[in-house]
Amino acid sequence: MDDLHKGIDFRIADKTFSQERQAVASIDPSICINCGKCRRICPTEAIDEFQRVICRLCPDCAEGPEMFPVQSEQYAHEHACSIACPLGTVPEGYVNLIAQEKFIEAYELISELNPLPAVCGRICHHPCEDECKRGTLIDKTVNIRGLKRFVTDNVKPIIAPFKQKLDKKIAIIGAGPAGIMAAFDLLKKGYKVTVFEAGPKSGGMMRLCIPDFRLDKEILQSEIKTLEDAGMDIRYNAKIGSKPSINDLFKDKYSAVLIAVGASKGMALPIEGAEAEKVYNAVSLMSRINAKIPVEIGRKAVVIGGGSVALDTARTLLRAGTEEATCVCIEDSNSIPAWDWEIEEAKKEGVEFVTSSCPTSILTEWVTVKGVEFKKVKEINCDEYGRLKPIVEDGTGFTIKADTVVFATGQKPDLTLLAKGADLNLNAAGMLDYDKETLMTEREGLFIAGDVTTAKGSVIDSLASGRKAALMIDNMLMGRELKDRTEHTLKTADAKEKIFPARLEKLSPQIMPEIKDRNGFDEIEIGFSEKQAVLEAKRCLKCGYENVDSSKCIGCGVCLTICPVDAIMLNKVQEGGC
Amino acid sequence: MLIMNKIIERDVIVVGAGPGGSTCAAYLAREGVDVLLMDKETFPRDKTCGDSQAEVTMEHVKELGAYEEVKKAGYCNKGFLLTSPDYSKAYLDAPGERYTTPRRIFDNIMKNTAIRCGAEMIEDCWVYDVIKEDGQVKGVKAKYQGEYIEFRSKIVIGADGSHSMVAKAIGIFPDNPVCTGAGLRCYYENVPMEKYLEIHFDQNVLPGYIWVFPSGNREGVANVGIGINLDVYDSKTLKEYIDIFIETSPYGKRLKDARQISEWKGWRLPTGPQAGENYDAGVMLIGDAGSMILPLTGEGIGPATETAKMAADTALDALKANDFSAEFLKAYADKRHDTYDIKYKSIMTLDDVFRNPQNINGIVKRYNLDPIFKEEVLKQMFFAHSKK
Repeated sequence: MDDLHKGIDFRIADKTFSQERQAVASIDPSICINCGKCRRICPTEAIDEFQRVICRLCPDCAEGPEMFPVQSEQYAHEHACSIACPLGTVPEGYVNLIAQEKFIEAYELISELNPLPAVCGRICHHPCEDECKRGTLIDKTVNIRGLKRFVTDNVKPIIAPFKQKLDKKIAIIGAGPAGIMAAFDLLKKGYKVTVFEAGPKSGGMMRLCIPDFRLDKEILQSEIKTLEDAGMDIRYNAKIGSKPSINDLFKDKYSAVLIAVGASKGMALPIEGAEAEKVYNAVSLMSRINAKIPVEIGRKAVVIGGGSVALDTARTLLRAGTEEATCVCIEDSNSIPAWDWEIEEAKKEGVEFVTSSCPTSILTEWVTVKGVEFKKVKEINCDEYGRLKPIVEDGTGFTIKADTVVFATGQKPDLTLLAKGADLNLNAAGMLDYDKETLMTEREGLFIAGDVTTAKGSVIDSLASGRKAALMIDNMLMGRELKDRTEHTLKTADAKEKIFPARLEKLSPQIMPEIKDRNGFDEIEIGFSEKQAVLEAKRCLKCGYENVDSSKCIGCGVCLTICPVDAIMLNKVQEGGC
Repeated sequence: MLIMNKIIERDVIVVGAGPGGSTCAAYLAREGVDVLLMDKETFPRDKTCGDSQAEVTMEHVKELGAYEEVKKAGYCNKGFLLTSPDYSKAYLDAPGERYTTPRRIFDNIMKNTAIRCGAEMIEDCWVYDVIKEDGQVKGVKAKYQGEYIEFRSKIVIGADGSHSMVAKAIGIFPDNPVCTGAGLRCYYENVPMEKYLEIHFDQNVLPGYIWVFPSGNREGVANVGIGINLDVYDSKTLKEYIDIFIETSPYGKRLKDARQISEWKGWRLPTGPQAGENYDAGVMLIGDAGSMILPLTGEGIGPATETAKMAADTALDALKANDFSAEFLKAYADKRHDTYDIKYKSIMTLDDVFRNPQNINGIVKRYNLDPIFKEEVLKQMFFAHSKK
């Protein structure tokens, strides 16, 4: 500690201060669980996340690829669960708290950044797991999502009531993931927030489109109720459009308005026969099935599309009585848009796949569907709004017999009335133009988030978009430019912290229990037992830890008070330290 | 009863039952010390290695009464056969009796020797930390039979190999790329060989080298491997080097007609010059755990058994004096420095020389022409390893 000076210049929110400091913090890497709390709270950004190098010299000590020493070092700071989550969650923190059997602390850590942990514990597409170094370099990824679910299944939710500290009002239109996330962050900052939901229930596409066998809607309901009990004001059946309009909201002294209405309009392709009976779009079909409203379906269904919604629809149809369900997509078999694990699950349940095929017409007898005609796709082009334009090959036509057809070819937001009520025009794609950095539309104070933007459409991405919108709204209202502290870069740890696979405790991956009977709508995954969860959590390699840059630390000690494992110490700065 | 209240107490705990750990435990047990030898694997088990038991190793093997077993299981070799980048040969006839025994068999013999000498042995016991109280190591923390248990002792000997947990736990784990190598090895059968341990300084493999050692009691079984320093390991993989050797070298070609009988396995090879002080209060590191591999030749079993004996002697003195302080255990480090420091110095000079193909060509040429030079080289290579 010979580089510690008493005097220090530091910057907070673009202002420079000078101060005499009494102490400097340090973190014990052997205790630190890399939850990221100190890094996020540090006022001078003095804390960085370091990632340990994993030795992959030999072909046999792990299943992952061999690497030269230099490659390993580079890999260390380019890949980590902690930079994969769009929401900024650092899984290592709660995974290691689970390993230490501190389940309540794990819940607190998860719910600090995520208002819907039980939902994400079930349906998140877990980008963190794709980056898990245990998975890419050693054997099999840690089941992070399963561990998150375990915590939310076993700890009673606890959220401190939101306290209003500021008199500014913010309106959020839409109680889907983006809207709820933005409301959560803005409420925590102390704003008065009102969420306007057009329907009788909240959750947006999570409620409408995600089937019950993946997410029991009771879980969604109870998570939202917890938020409402803590003070989140959600007004139901309150459609904002022409009356009241966005203009009315601004007139009503809302300082900012966020449009987070999602893309809830299912699209059908303009092909012959699309008006026949038993031809549906996925959103309307799924929302009816999810609401337990009877729908007429036949014995042989073709689902057009290869995304997550298409696969969920096909699996739902099989449960609802269809004998055969085929997903047909324009992409080739190596680039089906759904996640690999979704495709695997769907195949396991009997969903058939036909790839590189574009529907040209629905064959009907009067209004009864008889089949769908397809042509093989030669190549796929993309227009300026990201819409796909497949080019088909002549003479490659073929027919798939079917009596039910579902279009799962994407969803669109319906913004006509909203835009009109805000004196804005929609662009050629029917969307609102906006600044990609600030998420603000051309109208001052009007922001958009979630599927209304051109961002990726998964739940976690929508949540992240809501978080960004909240930050941007706060920055605008406060007249400052705070950075998103959940985004960060990694540094490579010192050689002495290197992880050798040969040293690891021998632990096999825990197998997630699943239900056997897949004919009903019960959730497929049952969830880990406590014993399983602890064993699975112990598989975490603990690649990351936080480290204090002593040249930036002002010795305020805030990090000490929030560390869940007491890994941080304050070291006194000696008088006249060199 | 072995386990009481999840705490086990012994005079000395030896972590790791490789040649170093077993030798150390055997010497201690023979003197009546209450010693517990533990290993994370179940024996017999393989270890990536050249399998060579040099003269120094054989001295301990004999002393501990394992000679007949090793003689039966091993291959008695005459010394080294070096080949230069221009494919010339030099035969280095070694004094004394030297064997090559597959580690799967040799380590099991040594483990059983330790047990025969009176050491208690537990397998499948994974050590993950040391118990440290007031700066003094007082045992180890381990997972045994699915339980997390504390094993307490007056002295801990870290013999847990190149990824040593004990070394890491006490903060003496050097990982300097210049002094650390990567090795890869497999077994072939039906390989025509002379009775020498072949070391090929192949032009396509330098600064690494390839070894072909006759190993075990079946004629024609070769232990084939490659070692390279990490500071120059950045373009071809070890396996790629081997493939090139088999394709291009006159000494590699015979492997095409031979049959590969095991998987390629790798290992980390920490060499001596980077070793720090391999001891602390209540703990000593031996063998690979203490980075004791000889540079250049890559010999690890010899230094492991030698440091095992040194550590055992120091431990016996410490038990007699009932003093387990770092000051007392420094005697171990002193013995080690006396034996090895000069050796490292001369080997490191050679190591530099051997990174240049012309030098090796020249040395091999002169070795074959100049009898005085030949004698000097042999002295350096072998007599330096034996006791002074």
